[in-house]
Amino acid sequence: MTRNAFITDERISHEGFFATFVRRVKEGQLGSLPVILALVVIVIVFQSANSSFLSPANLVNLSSTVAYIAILALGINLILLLGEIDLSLAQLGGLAASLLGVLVVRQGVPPILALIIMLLLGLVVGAIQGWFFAVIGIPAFVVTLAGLLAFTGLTLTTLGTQKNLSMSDTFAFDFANFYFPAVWAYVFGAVAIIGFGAGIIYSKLRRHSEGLEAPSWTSVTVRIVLLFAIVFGFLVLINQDFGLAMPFLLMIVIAIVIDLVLRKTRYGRSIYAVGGKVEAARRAGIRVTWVRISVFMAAGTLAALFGFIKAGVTTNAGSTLVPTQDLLNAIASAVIGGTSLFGGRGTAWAAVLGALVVGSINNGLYLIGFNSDAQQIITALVLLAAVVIDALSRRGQRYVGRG
Amino acid sequence: MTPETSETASASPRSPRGGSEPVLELRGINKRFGAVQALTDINLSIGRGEVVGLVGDNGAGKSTLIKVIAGVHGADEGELIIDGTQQKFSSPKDAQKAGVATVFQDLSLCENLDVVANLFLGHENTRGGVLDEVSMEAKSWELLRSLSAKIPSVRVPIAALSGGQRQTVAIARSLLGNPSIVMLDEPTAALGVAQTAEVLNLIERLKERDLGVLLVSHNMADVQAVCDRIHVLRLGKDAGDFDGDERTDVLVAAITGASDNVVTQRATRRGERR
Repeated sequence: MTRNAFITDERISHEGFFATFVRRVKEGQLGSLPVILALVVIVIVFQSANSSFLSPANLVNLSSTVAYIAILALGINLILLLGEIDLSLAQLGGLAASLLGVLVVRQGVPPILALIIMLLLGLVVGAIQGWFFAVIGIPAFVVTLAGLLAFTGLTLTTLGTQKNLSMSDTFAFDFANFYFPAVWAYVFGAVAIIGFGAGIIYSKLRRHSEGLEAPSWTSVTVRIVLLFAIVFGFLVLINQDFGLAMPFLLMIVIAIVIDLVLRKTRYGRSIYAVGGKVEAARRAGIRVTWVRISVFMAAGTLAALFGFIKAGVTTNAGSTLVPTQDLLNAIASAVIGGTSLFGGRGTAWAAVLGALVVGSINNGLYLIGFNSDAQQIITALVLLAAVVIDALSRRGQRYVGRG
Repeated sequence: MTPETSETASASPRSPRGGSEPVLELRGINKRFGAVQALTDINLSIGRGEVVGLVGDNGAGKSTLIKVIAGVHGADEGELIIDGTQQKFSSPKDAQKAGVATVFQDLSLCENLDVVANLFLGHENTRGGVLDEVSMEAKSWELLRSLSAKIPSVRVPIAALSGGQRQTVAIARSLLGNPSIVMLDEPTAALGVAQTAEVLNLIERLKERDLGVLLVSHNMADVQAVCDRIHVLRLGKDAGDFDGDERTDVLVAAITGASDNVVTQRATRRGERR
């Protein structure tokens, strides 16, 4: 509080913690809080309706499902940050998975080579779609709608006459069903918490030494303890069953990497700038075309990875691997997590938290005996609620600070 | 706002105040777009710590002139001298490197990013490839404080700031490259009374920093409030270089090219009232 004391506006009143909170609710500057609250409510509701919801076996099952939804959602999340949409990503994942299956199961290509080929497919397709959008100037909506149709057809062509393709006993299955020993899971958890804690403490000390407003020790401690409780609570529960699954760890690692890139690098900053105002980004010397194409490439690669994980988890690489609601679930995840459809606002963790909400709703409704129709309707309602909150918070933000 | 009446009264037209070496000097600038002669033989100079207003009707060539100085368009003929060195800009980047900062009318700020991110957009400080938020935030406070800017927090998104505060951020942003001349294109358009005053105060701060300021505006009151000299363009030609406190009717006459209009009539009726 030392530096800014000089130049604060007399119109700005200093308020307490609670007043700040209320104001932030109105302004829509809550970050991840609404989705975390929603998740808590969902867990309480389903746990009281069916006590097996928080059982170790169900959590392990849920963690693998959430993993592939979240990986796809992380890809779509990046595109949403640009203020664009990609309708083809889920189908691209399906195409990549079918290609992988055909290469490995039918052609006998070495698994690693096949995996590299499928990821490259995602990368190249992303680059092509990004090029049509960023260079030719066709709306991303149209480019990726064409992609959606093309990839559906290409998947069938790749599979040939036999549309079913089982991935059981392949490396994709082994990868998706690899569970870490309990000790390893705790080590990973400890590494994550130490990394997080060291990061915020270092940042606090540096801000303090520069005389900038720094978070209090209380808030630092609370955040570390909360993360510790959540991570280890979860690990203790799932370790009573199979334990930490490879897809879930992969999802967490990808989310951490994307989060760091978005928040800590110039490239990440440029994504937000392009999503916020293209002209301003261009004037600031940001290579807008490259940012756009590279984001589509990253999303394409994540889509291929989604196909790989989903094929392994569901042991299927045939034409039925990717139903239409996968794309909608992923978009819903990103938006429910708090990423704006209007571009420039959101975080990597939005995709993960949103995927937890969507995955929990589907899983919980299934447990209490609802069919998939009801699951879709309820997910749709949650998505609608999230979009309404997004639109309202944008409007709220516009009213703030006008003197 | 205190007009610099005593100092500017003696200043002769077309020469910077106090005999200091000009930061910007234009000699015989010509610019054609096809058949249109947008600028004809423009001469203009701005001294260190001098605020020059650039006024003129729509289509008088103000924007073209600004774009020539900012490196967006190249001049067809004429000399552009900045800090004593003759320059030939082929891109806005060249102009920025030479010390010309431009704040355009449609603010080039990202509303979703906070003040620090906007100030440093495209020129972020990094430590080992990682954004150095701490040094950027410290520098932001330092800069905003030196401009006596009223910004509640540098960590609020631009969307939450008022028009005047946004203009302040846009101007502060232009100062990060250590320019010697700052061009402001209609900085007070669409601002309220208090916010306009805030921006005009800011222009005084720029002057105190010994920067040359070129202020483009439609608003005679604003120009008269802060400018040391007022340069009038009409139909792409120089139409006069006046003291900063020149009477409105004289300026309007120079801008429109007609000495008989409602402004001069009223001035005559009221008899030299200022």
